[in-house]
Amino acid sequence: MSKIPLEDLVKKLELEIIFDGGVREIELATSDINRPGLHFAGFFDYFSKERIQVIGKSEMSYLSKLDRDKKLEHLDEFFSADLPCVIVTRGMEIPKYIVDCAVKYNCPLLRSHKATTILMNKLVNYLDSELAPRITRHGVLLDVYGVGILLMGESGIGKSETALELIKRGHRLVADDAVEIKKVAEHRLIGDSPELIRHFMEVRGIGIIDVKALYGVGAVINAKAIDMVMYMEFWDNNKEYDRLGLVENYIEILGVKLPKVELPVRPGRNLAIIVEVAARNWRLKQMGYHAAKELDRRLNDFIQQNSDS
Amino acid sequence: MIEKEFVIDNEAGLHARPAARLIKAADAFDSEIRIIKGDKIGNAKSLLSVLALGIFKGNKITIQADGPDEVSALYRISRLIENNFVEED
Repeated sequence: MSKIPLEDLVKKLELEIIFDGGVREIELATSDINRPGLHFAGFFDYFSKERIQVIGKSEMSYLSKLDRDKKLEHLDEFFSADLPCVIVTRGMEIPKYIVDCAVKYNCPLLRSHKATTILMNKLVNYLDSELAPRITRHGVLLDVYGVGILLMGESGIGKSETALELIKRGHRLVADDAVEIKKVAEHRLIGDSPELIRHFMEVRGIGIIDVKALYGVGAVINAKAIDMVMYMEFWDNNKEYDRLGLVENYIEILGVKLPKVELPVRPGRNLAIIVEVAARNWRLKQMGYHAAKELDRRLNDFIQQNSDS
Repeated sequence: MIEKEFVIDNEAGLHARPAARLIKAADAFDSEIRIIKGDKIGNAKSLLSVLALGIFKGNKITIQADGPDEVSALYRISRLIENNFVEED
């Protein structure tokens, strides 16, 4: 269950409040919407009363044809279900009997000037984004050649310094330190920065810097889909690091599997250039070319040819 | 893991200077230290992450410490918060 402020809903979808009943926020579990045509006809067996109810032209004209007693009876049952809110579309005139019911059961009643399908489309998009699961992670999110790279690792390992070098090379900063991650679809995570600290960075020894002011508007971007995670850690001589790149590692964030690259940090290693290479390599893989596999294939061909002769 | 709740009594809230003192105190410990306000969690060793929480006077926050020196870490930070972020000598 998520709470959505009524004021935000009204503002984002350009709605008009007919009656708000003092309701400040509405509680919703899904972004699904219900059109109550069948319920106006008296069929309440399957009634998704926990959804936002949208009354369009067909529902409204059906109601106007219904005889008075039936109409009032069905509307009373409809509004008595403790609905989150009811929206009337197309800027239609709202008959007094509907307003009376809304007032009786203290149900917010709103009006949109958009056509029903357009409003429903916008409503679902808005609710999907508002109801999306979210989490805050420690790291730096960058856009490198259009690839969303989340740099992670302990404090003080040099994430911000690597990010600065990447910004200097023309890549873009999304968020430093705290990255707010939102699951907007089955396999899609979007990261952005908390509003308060957007495009600020902390560099040890210098303090707080404003990346947008220092490097210009081209060095920053507000939000970005996360494509891969690069995990920075101190070089461990006892650990084996990937030499071929044939095995893919993953990390799970909000149930989404993201490719993960472990980056061992050693003095004198230029990590920015390695992040760039990883981004290019990822794009190449997306286009169907896998360097390690290609080399492996060539080697196999070579071995085959030589063993034939 | 241990934790303690506080109500911020500092007139101007947790603005840049007090926050800097808080992270300096937290940074001296090996334990992982989190600062929680509502449903937001910040890393107490990272200045921006603490500032991003937007903590002001009257806010209820929770400090969580997790690691080998969690007891002394939480003690040190409690003292700092109770002293309204004025550093002791």
